[in-house]
Amino acid sequence: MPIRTNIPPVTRILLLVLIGLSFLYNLARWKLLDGISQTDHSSPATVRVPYLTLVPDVCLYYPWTFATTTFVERNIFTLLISGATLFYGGKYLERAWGSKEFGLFVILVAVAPNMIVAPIYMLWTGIMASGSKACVFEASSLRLSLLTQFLS
Amino acid sequence: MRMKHFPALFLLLNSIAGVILGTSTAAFLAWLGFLIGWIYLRFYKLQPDLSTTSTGGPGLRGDASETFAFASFFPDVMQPPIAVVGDQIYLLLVAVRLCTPFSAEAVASGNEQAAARSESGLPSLLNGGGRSNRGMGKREEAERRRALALKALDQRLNAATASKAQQPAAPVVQQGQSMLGETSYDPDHEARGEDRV
Repeated sequence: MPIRTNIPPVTRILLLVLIGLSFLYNLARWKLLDGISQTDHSSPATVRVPYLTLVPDVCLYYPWTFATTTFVERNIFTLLISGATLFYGGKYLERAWGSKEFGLFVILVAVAPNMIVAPIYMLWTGIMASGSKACVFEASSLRLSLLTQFLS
Repeated sequence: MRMKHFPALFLLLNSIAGVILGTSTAAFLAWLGFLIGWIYLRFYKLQPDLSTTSTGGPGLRGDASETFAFASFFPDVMQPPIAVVGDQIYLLLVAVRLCTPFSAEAVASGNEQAAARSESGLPSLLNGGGRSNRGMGKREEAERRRALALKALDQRLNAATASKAQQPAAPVVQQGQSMLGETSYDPDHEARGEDRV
């Protein structure tokens, strides 16, 4: 991937945030897993990092996770896909709309779906009394970039 | 594989994966994100105003171009039922006054921008308000724009003649016209000749 291409500022920041947060998340998971594997046999899926991703049970204690969870990716493939979407979508949209508009758009699309889905999940776990889930998603963000690609 | 099918394809894949693989959270978020993004772009985003002669300013609110209609994101076979549902929801919201209907200028300007964005001709659609009704072709679109431009010309001429009305030799308004130098463009009778323009 040529790094010499001109990436607009907001896109640059978002890409760095994406890579950085995903890295931190996986680092935290690795350390947690290391700690757990010596004690009991809990599966990796129950390892949660509530201060980076949105865990509905405790999300109100970590309110910034409503925004950061969209930029955390668990595996390298989704990271690449999200990165590519941000890269190409951002390049076009930031030039077309201006940095402020683009930033607003991304923030809206990153935060709003989480805010709607989290209470639903909290209610659901309350009703079903089952385990909580951690949400790590760039999915909705991808959607939006694709949506606006259509405009181009 | 047109680019415009990508969002619908992504939604479909996510939904299938949500059911089969149990990643329902991703499917939820994908749909929600699509809806929220579409609603924002459609109604609230400030677009630069290209069609009028005003300089600067935030321009229009929302993107009225009909190519951005909700139903147009899905493949053609599914568009009529989706359009019907979308229309009903839209009319309901307008009745509750949660969203205001678009004026014809907004629609036209949105169309111009959409046409300017893609260099190919877009199928322009009839009904304003972002819901689609299969109809006119590109020629009608061009004629509509011409009519708008003529109207603007008329207004400017009117202003010019109003400032000249102080002079003694006032020209007489000719028969068959309501104001001086009125241009009239009748696309349906264009076959009769271009001398009326």
